[in-house]
Parts: sequence; C-alpha cells; structure tokens
Amino acid sequence: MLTHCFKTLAVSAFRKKTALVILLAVLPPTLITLTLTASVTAVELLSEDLVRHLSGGALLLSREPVGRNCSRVSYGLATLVHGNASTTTPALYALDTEELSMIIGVDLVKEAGECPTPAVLLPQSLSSLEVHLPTYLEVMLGDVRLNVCAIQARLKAVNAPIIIGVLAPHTESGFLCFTDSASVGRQVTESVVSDLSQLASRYSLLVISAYVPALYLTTLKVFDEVKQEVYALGSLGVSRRRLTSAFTSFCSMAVLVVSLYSLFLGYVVLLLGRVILANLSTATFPAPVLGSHCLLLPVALSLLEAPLAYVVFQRGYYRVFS
Amino acid sequence: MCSADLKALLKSIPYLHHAGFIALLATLSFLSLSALGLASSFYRLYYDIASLDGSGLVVSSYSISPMTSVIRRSYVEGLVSNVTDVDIEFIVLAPVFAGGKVVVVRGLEGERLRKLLGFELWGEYCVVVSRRLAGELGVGEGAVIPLYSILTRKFLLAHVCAVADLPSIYASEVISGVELARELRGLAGDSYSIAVVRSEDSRVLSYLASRLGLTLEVSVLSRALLVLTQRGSEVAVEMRAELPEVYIGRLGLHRDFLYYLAYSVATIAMLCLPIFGEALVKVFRGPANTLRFLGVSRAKLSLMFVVIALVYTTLALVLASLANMLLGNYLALRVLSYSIAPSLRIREVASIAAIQAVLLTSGVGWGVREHVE
Repeated sequence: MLTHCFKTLAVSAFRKKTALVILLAVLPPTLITLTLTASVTAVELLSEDLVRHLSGGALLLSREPVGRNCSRVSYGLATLVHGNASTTTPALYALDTEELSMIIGVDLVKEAGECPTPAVLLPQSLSSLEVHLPTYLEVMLGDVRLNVCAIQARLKAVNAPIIIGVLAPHTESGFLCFTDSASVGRQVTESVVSDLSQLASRYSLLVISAYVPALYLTTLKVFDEVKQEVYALGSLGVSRRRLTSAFTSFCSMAVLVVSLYSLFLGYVVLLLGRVILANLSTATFPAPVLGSHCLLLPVALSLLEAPLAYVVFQRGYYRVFS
Repeated sequence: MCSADLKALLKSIPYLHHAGFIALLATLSFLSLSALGLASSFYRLYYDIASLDGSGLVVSSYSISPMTSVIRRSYVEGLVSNVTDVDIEFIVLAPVFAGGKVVVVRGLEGERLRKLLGFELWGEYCVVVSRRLAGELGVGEGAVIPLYSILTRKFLLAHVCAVADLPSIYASEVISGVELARELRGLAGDSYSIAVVRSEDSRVLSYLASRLGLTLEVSVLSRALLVLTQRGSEVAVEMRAELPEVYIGRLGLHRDFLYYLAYSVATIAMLCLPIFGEALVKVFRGPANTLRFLGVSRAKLSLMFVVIALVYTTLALVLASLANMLLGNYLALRVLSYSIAPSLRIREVASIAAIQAVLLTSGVGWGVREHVE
C-alpha cells in the first residue's frame, strides 16, 4: 500500500513538473559547495605539484620534531658584553652538543677548539661586537652573569650564537631538524590550504542553512501540487500515517535524485569551465576531483528534507480534509 | 487609488510574514555580497601591500607577485634624479613560515620604519609584530621566534623587540629592518622587492613616465605600476594602469575572470529567488483575489507585487550590507598572513540589487499567473 501511495504521489508530482521547483532549491547549494570543494582540491593539487619539485635539505626549528634528524635545543635572548660594548641577540643553546653538530654539519666541539666550556660560538654574521676572538665575554643569561669563552665559528646554517655547556633560564625549547625541503614545503602549503578550506566549509554551511527556508517553500509547493491525490488516497481509506510516510519518503527521494543530478551537472560545468580557461589563459588547472565526500551533500540535503516534508504534510493534511 | 490598494494589501498579512521574507532575502543578499566583496578585496590586496592609498607609482620587476619581485635601488634613484617633490619608499617583502603559519616580513628603511613604529629598532634581528599577529604566533615581547624563509629555505632566529598597535596592512606582517628582510628574501645589498614613488604633484609622475618614453594620462598614472624587465644589461620598462593586473596577469588569468567567478557564485546563491517570488504572491493570495473581485486589474496587482518585491529587496540589501560590515570577518579569507574581509562598493551592491530584483520579479510573475484569478 505504501509503495502504491509513493508511486501515485511520485507520478503526479513528476507530471506537474515539480522537479524544476526542487531543482531551484537544491541546485544553488550543491553547485556552490561543489565549486568551493573543487577550488580547494585544485589548490591542494597545485601545491602538491609545487612541493614535488622541491629538492635538497633544509634546517627547521620548530616546537615539534620534523622527521628523524632532530636535536633538542633551547633558544632565547642572550646579552653579550665586551668592555663597554654589548649586544642583545637571539641565541641557541645546545643541549646535546654531539647531536646538534650532526644536524648543522659543524663539529661544535672542534670549532670550540681551545675554548673550555661553557663557550659561545659566534657566527660570522654577528658583526656588532668588534672583538678579537677567542676572548672572554660576559654573557647575561636572564639574571645570571657568566664569564664565557667566545670563539668565531663557521656557522653558515645558523645566524645566532650557539652556547654550549650552559642553559639559561626562561628559554623556549624546540627541535632543530634537518629535513628535506619538500616536507617543509608541505607544511607551508598545508597551512595555506587549511585556511582556504576553512573559508570554503564556512561559506558552504551558510549557503546550505540559508537554503533551508527555500527547501521548505519548495516542499509546500510540492504538497500543493499533489494535494488532490492526497485527498483521493485519503478518501479511499489510506491512513494518515501511511500517507505521511509516502509523502516524506517521496520528498526525500526527490531531493536526493535532484541534488545528485545537480552535482553531476555542476561537475560537467566545471569541466567545461576548465577547458575554456585552458584555452583563454596560460594557466593550467587540475581536473576537479569528485571524491566520495561530495556525495555527502545530496545525502545531507535529503535527510534535511525529511523533517521539512513531515511538517509540511502534517500542516497541509488538515487543510485538505477540512 | 493604487496606493490605497497597495496599503490594504500590505496590511492584510501579519508583520511577521513581512519580516520573514525580508530576513530570507537579506540572508541570500549577504551571501552574494560576501562573494563579490571577497573577490574585490582579494583584487585590491596588492594595493594594500604597496600601501598605495593616494596616488603614486609602484616600481616592480616582471614577477608573479611583490613577494618575488626584485628591483635595484640605483635604477629607481636614477629614474627620479633631478626630480624634486618626490618621495621613494623601498620595501623588501619576504614570505616566511613561523609558528605553523605563512607570514610576510616587511623590511623598511630607517626613517620610514621610525615613522611607522614611533621608535627605533635595536639589534640586527629585532622585529615588531602587531598584537593580533603576536597572539596568532603565540609570542610576546622579548620572545625569540624562528623564521623559516620559504624562498631561501633557511631559518634564522629573530627577536620580538616590541608588540605594537600597527595600522591596517602592517598588523598582518612582521615588521623588520631592511637588512633582516633582505637576508630572509635572499637579496643582495642594493636590491629591494618594490619601490613606491609618491608625489603630491601628479605632473611629477607624468614627467617620470615621459622620461621613460611613456605618454599616459595623468588619471592613469596615479596608482599605476612600472614594470622593469631585465634583458641582459638593458632594463625595459612598461607601464600598467592597474597594479594587481600584472600580478594576476602573470598567473595567466585576466582580472575579469576573478569577477566573473564571483558574480557566478553571487547569482547562483540567489537562484531560488523565483520560489520566494511565487511564495510572496501565494501569501497574499486571499487579499489579492478580493481586490480582483473589487475590480482591480491583474496588471495593477502585478505592479503592486513588483513594488512590494522591490521594497523587500531594498530593505534586505540594507540589512545585508550592515551584516557584511559587522560579520564580514567571519567570512574573511586568509592569504599568507593577510586577512581579507569582504569590502563592498556601490557598484557591487547595485549589481546584486539588479540580479535580485529580476529573479524576484520573475517569481512574482509566476505567482500571479498561478494564484491570482
């Protein structure tokens, strides 16, 4: 009986061209969500392509270890005083000198040479202290004042002095890692893509929620179109419960089918747009990928439609039989 | 007579129904205006990066973006030699990865830096960040921050000398001396990313263009871009009227594409308006048919519905524009460390109003045909 009711309502609605009205309410959110998802995917693919071309190694200091070649370090401000001259500069503290030497490719113990620990290895870039090295410098580590042996070292990879054998209070700790440029590039592009996908999902959610009233009005319109059939079926003795189920399932199904249609229509439009852009500009755009997550939207819209159809039917039923 | 009928029609339904329709239209307008506003703001980003709020010329190399452009100081100074009343700002921009985010380091020269910050930077690796950016990066005054240069693939430690209240675009950037930015960008001593040539007198800009053999209208000269292309030892110059055009153009996309895309999204977002138009007539169906019975013609009734639709559209757009101003940041797009909130101009609002009016009126026509006898 339920199947019969469903068929009757479906055939009647189909003949009265309600699919077009449903399309007006379902097409926009589907199309916008698809376009935004495709844009994010395109940026992701372009970024991956960009990252793939990166080669060589890179030193990276981060709070979390990146890869396996990492050394735990500490970093903070240090004030180096020599006579009347002083400079405040960011400094790196080697917690494990041997490990850090391996990471930066300079034997720190060898570079320290005749300097006993604690020692400060100054990079060539630090030019503000004009002293003849090796010498002893006063290093202010927070409130502590230490007399430390200083030596010029060949620290190409690091711009800051490396202090070995002592750790200052109030320093940040992190990991100095030698990793491939591609993995750093990936981190960079991930942060860019996540910003974009956040906006895309926010905008899609807003569009979908803004279209709930449109979906409600559409359901009202569909009910108006099939109310005579509802009256006829009710008069023939079909229970209100069965009619409600038939109408609700018909509306959900219709929204599902129409939104799937919109999705594929949108996909074809995107493909066409890509061909046009490829011909008109020098830029190459990756083909939009229709992942399985894209199917979530038609399912979500169809589930959203069920309570709307239920409410519309309950309100309309009284009017039909009064 | 017509206004009395219209008044009667409007009063025939509860205020809540009117408010509901206006709220629905305002939501859709908000979405459309945001799409257009975002495209517009994105397009204007390069003006903001060059801090070109008045008239001036931006000197850049033929690069994909100001982040990768390289120009030589000697060339630009040679360009303006013997010209007084001209102010040149040399800027080095370097994109870096810090605290899990991509941020732009802006290197400025002494006087300009002092003017912006109100104090001098001390130390070679001293940087200043805005309160907002400091919060995002999780650093405070006196902190040491590792900056990984995306272009040179090197990291260096910088010292946050101050957390300050910085104006507009600077609030999204790490401000440093020109040397540090140059090290991060991988530039030699005489090189910068871009130079902004400003002059109160537009004739000076016109003269500069003529020295390069370019004859252009003064109106075009303000906010224009001089593009330098090095071919061997020769530097060729071309001028573009629109600063972002060359950068977007280099990506292979004409700027109009950006707008076409935004207008498509804005129109699609309003595609359900015919349903609203039809529902509008349906709500007024009873009183409308009574008026018909009293002798009001269908054409007159249609006109009244169109007037109602237009009033609704106007009110909805006013509400949507207000919402855009208040809630624009919720839909802000992040490009590098810049937060691009939708910005609206009268042209965009007028286009949305026109699209909305057409779609809603078509729905009204559909409704009149269906519901008015």
